[in-house]
Amino acid sequence: MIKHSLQIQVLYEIAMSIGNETNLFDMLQNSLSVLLRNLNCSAGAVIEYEKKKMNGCSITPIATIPRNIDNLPVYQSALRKISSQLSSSEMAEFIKKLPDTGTVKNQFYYLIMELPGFGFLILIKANTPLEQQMIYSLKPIAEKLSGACIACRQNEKTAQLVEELKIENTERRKAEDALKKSYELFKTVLDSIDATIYVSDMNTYEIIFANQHMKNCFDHELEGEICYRIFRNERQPCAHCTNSKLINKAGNILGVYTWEDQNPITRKWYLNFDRAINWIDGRTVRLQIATDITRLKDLEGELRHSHKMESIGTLAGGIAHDFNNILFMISGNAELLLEDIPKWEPTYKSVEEIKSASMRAAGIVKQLLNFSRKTDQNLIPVDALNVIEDSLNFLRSSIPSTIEVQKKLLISNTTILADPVQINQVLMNICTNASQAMEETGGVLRIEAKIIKLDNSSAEKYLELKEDVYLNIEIIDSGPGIAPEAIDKIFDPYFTTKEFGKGSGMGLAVVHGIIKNHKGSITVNSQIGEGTTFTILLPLIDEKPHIEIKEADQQFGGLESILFVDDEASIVDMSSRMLIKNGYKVTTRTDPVEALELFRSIPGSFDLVITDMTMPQMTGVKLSEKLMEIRSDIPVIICTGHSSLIDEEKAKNLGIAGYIMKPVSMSNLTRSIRDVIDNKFCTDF
Amino acid sequence: MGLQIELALYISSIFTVFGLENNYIGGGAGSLNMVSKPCLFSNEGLLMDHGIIVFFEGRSGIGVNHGWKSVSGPYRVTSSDHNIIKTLDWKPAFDVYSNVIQNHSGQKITKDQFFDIAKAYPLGIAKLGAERVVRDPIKALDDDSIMCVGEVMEGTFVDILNGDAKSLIAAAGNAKKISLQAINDHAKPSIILFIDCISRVLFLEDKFKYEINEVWSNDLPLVGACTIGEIANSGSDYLEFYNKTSVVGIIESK
Repeated sequence: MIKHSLQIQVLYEIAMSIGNETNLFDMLQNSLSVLLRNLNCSAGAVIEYEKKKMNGCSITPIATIPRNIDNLPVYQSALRKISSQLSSSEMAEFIKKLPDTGTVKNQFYYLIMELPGFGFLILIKANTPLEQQMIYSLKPIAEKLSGACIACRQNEKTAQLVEELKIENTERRKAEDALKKSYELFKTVLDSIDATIYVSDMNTYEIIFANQHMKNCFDHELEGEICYRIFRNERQPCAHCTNSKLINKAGNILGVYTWEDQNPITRKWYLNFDRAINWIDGRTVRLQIATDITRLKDLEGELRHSHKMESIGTLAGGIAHDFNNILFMISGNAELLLEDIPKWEPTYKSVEEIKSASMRAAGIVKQLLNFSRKTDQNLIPVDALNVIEDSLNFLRSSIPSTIEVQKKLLISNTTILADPVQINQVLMNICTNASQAMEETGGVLRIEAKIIKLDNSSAEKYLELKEDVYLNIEIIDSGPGIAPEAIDKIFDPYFTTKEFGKGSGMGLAVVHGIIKNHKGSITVNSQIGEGTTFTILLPLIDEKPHIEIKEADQQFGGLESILFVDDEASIVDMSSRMLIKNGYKVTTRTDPVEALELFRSIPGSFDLVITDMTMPQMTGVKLSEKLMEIRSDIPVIICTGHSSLIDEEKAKNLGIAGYIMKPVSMSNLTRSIRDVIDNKFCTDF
Repeated sequence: MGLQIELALYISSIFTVFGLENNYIGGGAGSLNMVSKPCLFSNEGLLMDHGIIVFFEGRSGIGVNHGWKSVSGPYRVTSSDHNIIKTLDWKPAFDVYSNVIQNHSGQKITKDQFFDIAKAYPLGIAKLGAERVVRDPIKALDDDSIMCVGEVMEGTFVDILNGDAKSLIAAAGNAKKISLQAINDHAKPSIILFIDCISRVLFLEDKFKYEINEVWSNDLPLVGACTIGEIANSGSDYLEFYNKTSVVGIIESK
């Protein structure tokens, strides 16, 4: 009874000691230690058994106490018994017969027990064997030990997996960190590029990525948006979508597709580079890189405009001479007629109209030349406020009362280098256009003027301007606005939105030319339904304004002898009559060579030579040179309809005493003659 | 030494490493006031919390015996912490222990004079086919747990033992007999090494000399030590840490 009780105590303690560790070796060492102590055994071992392929098996001692148990012949004997079962079937048969006992020299006894599903337990006892009852009582202990071994093995595998996962996790985290860094670097690079870059899904059109520049352009976080909606305000994929051009029918990526387009939202021009790429998630996506070529387009437009100007200028230059000559004949003969007709004659008014019309026609030719920069300018320092006020005064009388004219002129003592007539022309043109746009509905026309300073970055907006202080004139109307498609052409010659017969389309073209010649800039801003604003910038100067003293329209006579040379007989005749009327002695020639020969024969006979510029055989300048070779003090006046070969400055440099543009009034002609003869260089055009 | 927390591990490690090719005999060194202090002499100086292993070449026979008998039990150690038994059968260890003593001897044991009575009532850990392994209770703690010399694992079954001078002295003689049986017949013993627990000395008092006489031999010189706990394997058994036990080694020296 006591013995039975003791056995139970021992077995209980052994059972309680099993499975207290998760590490297999530690668990077995501990359990074996308790087994040996409680069963009063000398040594013990746990052997793991593993089935191999091809019907074999292997055994491996996992834990032994003592470590050098191999030195015990009794252990070797027990182990040999197990390892001699070579095949799985032999082993199965052997296991069925366990527990097995044996002895070596009756000094040491061994016990082999099965650890089901794991292997074997070997216990070695000195002097006396374990009792049979005890052995069978150990079976449940062995089963529990076996379960603990299997659990520990599983735990080891799990621990190994966890370790591998940890390593993989660490590697993955490293890779993720590296990827994140790489992504940040990639994003930093892309965000720093001044080009719009975006990636979109080729099937859903969803934007997957957009760089910062693109987000700034559209002032929107773009990822997740649909490209055709957010970029172009379309409800469905764009008709011109290039997706189909980026991959072939087999889904293979083709090359880069390049195209130009003006974005309907930003209104900017872009050069687009589209291509399909493989995205990180395996999708084939669309990548677009677009550079803003709006300035290039503007320059293109400027160049086209400039070419147009040049061609028109060439045309203008070509006809100006002949037109001016003809107009001279008309205005000159009209003047002569006016001398002869009494003022009360009904025909007097008609002749006056003829003269006035011809002078207006001359003005238009001047505009044309102005517009194409083929004419001389008369830029003088003028007070900007006076010029604008003059224009406003005239404007009030010429626009309907349904249009309210407002002004806000925040300038004083502001001097610009300008032709006041042309500035007046500019303001009149723009205001007249505005007035016509508001003709039916009425509205407000507002003129504002102020001084602004452009720095380098703000000056960049204006191709022609640099960092400086400018007079800023804004003409703002509350009219219907200008359509987007028209705004780019507004300064083009002959472009007009008015009905046929209501405008030549030259007004704003001339305005543009005038402002350019004044080293300024003109821009327009307009939205449909929101009116139009023209902004003019003119550079300021430090000089005081020129005060013009207008002389009365009078004729200046004299008794001097004048040689008049012009290849146009009608002009010669008319001019001769003008001058004779004013007391001068006039000799005329239509051939410059003849004129030269005449002068050579009697050089002292003439007090003044007036010559046309464009003549066959010899130009007016050439003739002048030859005349001055003969007589160096002979004053010469060039009187020309137009020539690209000479202007006021060139004439002065050549020693020519005067330069007059046809058509010229009798008053100006006679005054010029007087000035020259009286030794002043004169100009009149 | 017996108050070392990892003593069992130390003992089993020695056996695991050196195995059955050696016989083992030895004991714990320390102070009777149970305060740890350096008490081991070595070439490295005075050591504490250490063990010294000395190898003898030569055949030997080791005998272990204690003479304590069970008077009550078994009790399951339901809670322990190394060498401190907290509960026996889910009850405070001191309560169970003091009740047994009271019932057996009529003596009331108190925490203040615990060892005066406890020295006669050690605990015995169950072991199959051998004497129980004795554990010497030396102190009762404030939480009614009992401190022993040497570890007592949870789940172990213990009896409360008792003995007298006669049984103890006889046990010493048995230990000698076992050692003589264990030594090889062809060995020529040259010395008897007697390791006897100091608590047996304290128990036997002036009768200790009789215990020495049991081990004495006219033929062989007798050397030994009174120790706090004994380390030995009896014959070819597993190495154990004993308390209140006599260990006799018959050693042949080369």
